[in-house]
Amino acid sequence: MSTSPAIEFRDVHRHFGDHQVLRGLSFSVEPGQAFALLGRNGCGKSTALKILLGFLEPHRGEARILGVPSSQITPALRERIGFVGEEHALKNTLRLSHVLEFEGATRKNFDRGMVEKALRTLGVRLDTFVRRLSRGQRASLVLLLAVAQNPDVLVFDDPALGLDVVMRRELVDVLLSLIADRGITLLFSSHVMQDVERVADRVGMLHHGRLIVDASLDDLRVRLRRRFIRTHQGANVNGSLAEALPEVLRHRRVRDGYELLLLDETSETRERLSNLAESISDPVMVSMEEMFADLTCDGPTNVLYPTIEARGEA
Amino acid sequence: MNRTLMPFLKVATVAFVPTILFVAMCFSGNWLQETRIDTSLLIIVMFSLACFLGSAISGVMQHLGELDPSTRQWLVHRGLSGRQLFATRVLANSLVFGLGVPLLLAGILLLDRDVHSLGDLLTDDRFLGLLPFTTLALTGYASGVFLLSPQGGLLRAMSIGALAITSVALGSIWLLTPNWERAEAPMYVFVLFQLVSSAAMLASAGARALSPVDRDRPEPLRASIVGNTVAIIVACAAAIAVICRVSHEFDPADSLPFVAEHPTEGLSLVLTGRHQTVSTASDRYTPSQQFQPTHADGFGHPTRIADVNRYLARGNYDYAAVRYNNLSGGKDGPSDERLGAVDPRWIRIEARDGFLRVDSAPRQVGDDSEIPGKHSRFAKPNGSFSHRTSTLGQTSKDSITQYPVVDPQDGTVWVVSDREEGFVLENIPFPNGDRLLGTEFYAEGLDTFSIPHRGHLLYGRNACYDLYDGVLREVGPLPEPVHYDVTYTRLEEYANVRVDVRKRDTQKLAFTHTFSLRTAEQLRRLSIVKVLSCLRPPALSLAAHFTSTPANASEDFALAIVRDPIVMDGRGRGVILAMISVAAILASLATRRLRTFGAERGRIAFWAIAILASGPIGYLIYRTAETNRAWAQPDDDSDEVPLLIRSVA
Repeated sequence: MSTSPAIEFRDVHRHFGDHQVLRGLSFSVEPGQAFALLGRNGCGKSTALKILLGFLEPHRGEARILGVPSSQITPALRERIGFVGEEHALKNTLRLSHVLEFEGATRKNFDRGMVEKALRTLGVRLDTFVRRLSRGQRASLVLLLAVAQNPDVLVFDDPALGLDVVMRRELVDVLLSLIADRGITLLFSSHVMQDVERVADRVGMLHHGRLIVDASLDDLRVRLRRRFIRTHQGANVNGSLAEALPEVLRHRRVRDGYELLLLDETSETRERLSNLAESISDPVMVSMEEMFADLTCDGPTNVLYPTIEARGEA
Repeated sequence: MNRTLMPFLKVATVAFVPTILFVAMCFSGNWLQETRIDTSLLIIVMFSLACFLGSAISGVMQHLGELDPSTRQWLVHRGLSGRQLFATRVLANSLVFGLGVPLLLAGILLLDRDVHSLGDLLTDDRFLGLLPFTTLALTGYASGVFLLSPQGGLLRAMSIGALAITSVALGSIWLLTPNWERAEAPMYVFVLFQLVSSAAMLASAGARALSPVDRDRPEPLRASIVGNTVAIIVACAAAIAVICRVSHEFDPADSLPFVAEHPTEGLSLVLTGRHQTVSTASDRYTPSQQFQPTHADGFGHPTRIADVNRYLARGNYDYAAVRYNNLSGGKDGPSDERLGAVDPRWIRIEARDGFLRVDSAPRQVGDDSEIPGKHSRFAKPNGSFSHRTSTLGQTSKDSITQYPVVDPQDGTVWVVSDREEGFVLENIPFPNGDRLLGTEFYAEGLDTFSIPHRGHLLYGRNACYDLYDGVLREVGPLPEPVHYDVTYTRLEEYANVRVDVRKRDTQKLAFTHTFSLRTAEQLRRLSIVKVLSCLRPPALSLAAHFTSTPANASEDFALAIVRDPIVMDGRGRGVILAMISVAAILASLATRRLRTFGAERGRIAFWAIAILASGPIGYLIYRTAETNRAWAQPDDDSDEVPLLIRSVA
């Protein structure tokens, strides 16, 4: 059995005009792993996925999928890769039966029976026109079509974008049921952290075109903690925090103290913190959403800051 | 394969609906032909409709939707390559045009009472007549696909697409319109032109089929070479067509100068043209004055001055028009009755492929009834009608309309009678075995209030004849024999011709005049024509410069593309030098810029050669293809963002 990664990015750079979107993106996804690519709007998630699938070429570096450089993906290899874009592209003028016919004609391993069965479960008739489907049904359909080709790798670009909470949950349920026990490698981007926590084994966070987090979810849950410190008379200790405490990934000024995001906190960390602070709160587990907001914000001037401060007041 | 093609073939059947409409429009007697628009306009309308339908079909079908990147990705990401998908769709759509239209027409014609068997069908003019329009629809489709295929922004797509469609449209009109100083191109040339254009555009689109549209990277070298070569060719074709047309408008001397003998002024050199540019020995000319031309062509087509020698070399006449009762100049010049149609709205008489074809459109009689159109094709009993066969207006005999037709090739005269049962062709023999040498249009009484009498004089070897009541009758002896020999010597400069008139008996020089452009208006026009000439592709102009055009090639359309009168036959060295210098400067600018970008050697060489060969047109294409954005390398000026968290597990 090959141990080479199913997906690999090596120092990928890409720009659009003068705007540099990816600046040396590097990470890999092992076979069978579910990897969530996170990041703020415009950080380059979709660009990375397009480069991986050969829809765009990088200006530098290389992306590989199933061991093949993305610029050399053949139609045969595409049979092994399922892809769902955020627009859920389908021909609106076709009936579902025609869509299945087209997919069957252009994909060798397409399991039409599986899709028909799933559509019946969802209560969608085959003579329905694509344009008549709700956004949730449409999302489910493209997901089904991608899985029905029995791929080794699935790549989803924010498939739940624009869906309401119920639809999104249903979609994730469909996804989980479809890929369960199939050993499919999954790479997806999303903005919804609850979905990420339900589906992903591992997450990568893109910020300013680079990966700032490449870790398993379990690892993050164990290693990241949040604390609040109150400083002596609300003193400003920005510089001291940055110099003395490398474990502090992010810190924010809140009223008379600081909110800290700590990585791999140790007793020594606590000792050094106590030297700076008048009081230290107990460590709090960090949710994915908080972690994402903290790591991808650009300092105290970030728009999120007033919200955090308001929460502190409460 | 069948499974692969099936969805496309199903969608392609949708194309039959506009096809049926299209075929309906092609039939004579439909609303389009009832509008009484002239032939060239009809062609433009037909081409526009065909293009519109073709483009609409290509758009409504898959190609337009693929401009959306997500649709393109969805389509590409499957077990067929983009080119396979493209090929299947093009195949399906082309089948509709290539087979659908003729099959449909064949079916309709087989139901027609005039056509009873497949053999008749294949020789029916209507079947063949639709072929050009069938290919037009295919071209329209190819244009639509091509328009949607170029890499780059909307401006590039629109400019290249517009150029392609303009070139095809102008080429088509050029090939089909007979009044551009040339014989009408045969139908197969037109069809071939359409097929080659379509194939080139589809090949270009296919080379880029479903490839990622990426404005931030230069196009892959191979696709760039294929696509841009086609773009340059169509752009050059469009530019040449436009330049030819505009040059024609600005041409300072667009008809043959002839020497005329005035009753009181003596010999004068007269040039009549659309701009009434006239140069005489005494620089005086009054169009209404009576002239006695000493030399002209009886079948005088309006001819550019640059063609003088060929024009003269072509004629087989000892002399021709010798008397003009009234000389009025104008675009067609004197006695140009080779119209190919007497009244294009109702009747069309033309010689094509050795046959004389006579077609009349249906006529409305009263409120309800309609006289159907008639179609006949006549062969000459012992030969074929030459393409210079002309009609001489119309006459009537016993209330039957007749159309005299002359074939200068063998000097025979014919008449087509429009009888109730159909057209009838009869030969009109010359009295005493005479032979036609030339014809002349005459109009008497133009200066009076009476109805002018118009007609044609036919000059034989022995006498002068008039066609009256279906019979050639002698109206008098031949005019005075020509007293002078006229020689035209083309000098270096364009439109600079020396005319020498010598007494025939003594060969003494009686008159000499160097025709040149003298007035400010003439020089302004010449400068515009020269500037336009500089915009032509240098390669073609060089070929024209170093190729001596054969004397009998004046009617050859293919040569007209490369025949730039400014530089042809070794003339216009200055223009050629300027052209090459400009192309070299542009090529060096392009080379330097591409080197700065770090482009591949192959790409630099391709553009250098392309610009040298095609001049400013190629440079424009190059600038739209190799954009700054595609080659931009922005500095990575952001602060380093370290990998904050990494877990190995």
